[in-house]
Amino acid sequence: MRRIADWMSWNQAFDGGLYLPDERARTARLPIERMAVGETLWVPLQVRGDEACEPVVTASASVLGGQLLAGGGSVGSAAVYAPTSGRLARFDRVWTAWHGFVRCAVLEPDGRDAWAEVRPFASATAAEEVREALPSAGIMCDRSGRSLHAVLVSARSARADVLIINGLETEPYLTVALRLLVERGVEAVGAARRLGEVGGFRRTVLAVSQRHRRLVRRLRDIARTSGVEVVPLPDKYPQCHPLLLIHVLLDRRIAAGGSAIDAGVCVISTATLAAFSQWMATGRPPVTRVLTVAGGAVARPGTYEVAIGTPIARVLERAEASDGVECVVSGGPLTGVAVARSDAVVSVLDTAVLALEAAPRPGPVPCVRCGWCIEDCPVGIDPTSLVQLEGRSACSAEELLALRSCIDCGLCTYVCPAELPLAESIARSRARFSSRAEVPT
Amino acid sequence: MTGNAASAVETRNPRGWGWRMPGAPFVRSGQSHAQILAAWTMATMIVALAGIVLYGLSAAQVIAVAALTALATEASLSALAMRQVPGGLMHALVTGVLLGLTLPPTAPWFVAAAGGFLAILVAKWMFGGFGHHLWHPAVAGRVIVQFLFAQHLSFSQGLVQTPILAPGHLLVGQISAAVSIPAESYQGWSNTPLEDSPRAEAFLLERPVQVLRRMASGSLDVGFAEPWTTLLRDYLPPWKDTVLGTVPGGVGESCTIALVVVGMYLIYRGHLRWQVPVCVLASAALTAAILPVAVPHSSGALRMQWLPALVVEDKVPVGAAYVLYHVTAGQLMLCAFLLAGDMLAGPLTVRGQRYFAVGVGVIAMLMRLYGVLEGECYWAILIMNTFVPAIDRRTRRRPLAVEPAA
Repeated sequence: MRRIADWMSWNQAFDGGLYLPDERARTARLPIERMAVGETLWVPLQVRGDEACEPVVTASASVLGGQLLAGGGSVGSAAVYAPTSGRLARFDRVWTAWHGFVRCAVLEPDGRDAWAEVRPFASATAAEEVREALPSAGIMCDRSGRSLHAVLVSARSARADVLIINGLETEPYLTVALRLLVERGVEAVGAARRLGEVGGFRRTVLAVSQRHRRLVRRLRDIARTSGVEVVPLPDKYPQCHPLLLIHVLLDRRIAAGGSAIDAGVCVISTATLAAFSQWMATGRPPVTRVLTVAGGAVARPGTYEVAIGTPIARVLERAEASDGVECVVSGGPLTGVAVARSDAVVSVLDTAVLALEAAPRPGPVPCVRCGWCIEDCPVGIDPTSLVQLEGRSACSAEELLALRSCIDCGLCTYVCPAELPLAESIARSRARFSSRAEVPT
Repeated sequence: MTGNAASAVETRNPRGWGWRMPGAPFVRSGQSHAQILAAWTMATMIVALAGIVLYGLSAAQVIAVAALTALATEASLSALAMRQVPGGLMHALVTGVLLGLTLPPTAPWFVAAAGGFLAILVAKWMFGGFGHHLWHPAVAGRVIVQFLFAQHLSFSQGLVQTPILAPGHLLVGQISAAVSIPAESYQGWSNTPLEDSPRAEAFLLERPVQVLRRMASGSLDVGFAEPWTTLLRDYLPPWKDTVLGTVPGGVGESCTIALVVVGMYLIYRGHLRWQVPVCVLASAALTAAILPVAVPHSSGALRMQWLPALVVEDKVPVGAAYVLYHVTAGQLMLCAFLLAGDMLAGPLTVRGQRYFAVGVGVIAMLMRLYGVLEGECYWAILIMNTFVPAIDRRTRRRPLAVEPAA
């Protein structure tokens, strides 16, 4: 039915893409569950891949919840705060899914969860004042890996005029945005309005899945007078990608390899909006992550709110993952990264922890020319011919444009019946040829 | 094949739960080439079964010989080349069965064997094997044996009439025990009695396609009064017979209903795009509806009848019936549903497949109406296969992103 709707252009949709199996039946209705902090937290002191934060506390000091642990380095990095009160035992290094080994503060919670003095913002606070306080808020945008403050600064300098709150999750399993909008809808719409004011955007759009009709109706009721547009979109993967949101909602195109900001649009995830909303309402910096914990190897899947620095093993234990876990993924099953070590901890960039059963797969066979990767590619490139760049030393301008257009959605590998690693090969070729193109010859 | 970074991590991971490190995406659609091949094998087998019911055990022999030869050739060539491709044998099986479907049930065993051997050797392995060939192997094999064994396959050399099992003799009858029926006295498959020759188990008739070809060239004696009515009444079997397949022809060519059913199944599974059969049949019907046919004039000379689809004789739309016969009689259905939709030999994109299918339909109908070569639909597919690289280059999708400003 939805395919017919796409074909007849009843839906607002892009060419290509795929309706993936949902896998959310067990978790979509479960409320967000707060997970108690364990005996030790390894709080990563690095929120960006390229720079670490400088600690401002000394070892064996006792800290309060929300107390500054490490200051943000450059404008792109956010400050790190203590998730709860306790004793800061030592500084160590710990594995995170997205950045590998990073410096961490080993915190032993005392169980009191005493919080430092924080100051909420009154609803009438001027946008200017909020903007000035934002660098110390410690809010990270999970998708771009930059602080919310940095994103708003670059949006201002690029004269971005539209703010899109990305309430879509088109990958299987993920339920974070859905649960946040269901449980904290009023706060989300209010925060979206405030964020639009703070960033100086002319339009604020909240994109949600059109499949959740009751949620769409409710959000529309809430947003009636707030100036936030609630737009339902089909949950065809990868509609959640900023590039396609911009294409479908605003009909703007991005230069190959560019970001949404270049097109004058700022795209913020629902989790970031929720962190902003909490910071505005209570003054507390975000010290937890809302994670979907699911996957074939998990007995009690759900949406959990987990303190940053909690070992992923503990999260999986809470969700009753079986012992034979083959493959643990941070993020969605199509765009996430494998968690390489079992002692990894939850960091600020994690959106989901999936314990998947890696099925044994036969080795790749030659391309069977089914054309599915081309048909399903959301950005209209030709993965099966780009694979041939692997053995070549030069590529044409057309091929380079195609390589740079790729948004790493992984659909080509997902559909390939010949089990060819198409997305991986494109990413490799892009890295090879992009760097070469910048070197003057 | 995981990324370099991931494998480097794997080596310095001394402990852990045995987490494996593939790169994203971590899930697959579950559609594998083995499933595609299995669905195609099943589809061809069902059509083969229909052919065996219609033409008896000779048809089974043709299909079995073609399939086994193709399998044996594939196995020995891949052993010789020391290159085993998963699915290679299955593909050879499909190729062999498809080749058997294109051959007449009267074809001797060595014709089927040569076809299976040459299809795999020449059309598949000489182009680099599975996934690299330009021409559809089964079709190429069929066209090659058409040249090598013309006396066994050609209408003009002794095969003026070909057999179809009579009612009551399906599946178990012998097509060699056939009795020739003059076209004028044939009343349709279920209405023509066989009583006067008790040993006979099959009718010997002219293929409907051959009748249509003779009609187009003007060599059919239909008279000038009502040529189209005469054609339909005296020379062609009832249209229902061409749908059910109870007309003489190739093993898998005649049973329209089986071909449509397996085609729908493949479309449902997503292994055949509906645009292919629809475009082949529509373009062929349109070509037959427009292009002229030589019909006798009252002066005795032939005149070219343009737009034959619009001919109405005695308030009966005989022209439309003529177009319908062109669509259902003969190889066009087999080509549209099983041969043109082949993934390996067709274009990659839907747009390209549309052009390909339209080309197949038009070329097949042009060759049927005005050509001298037999197996016109097979030729059409080979000709369009040749253009597949060009079609692929010209039907690329346009990237969504624009060129970055310098």
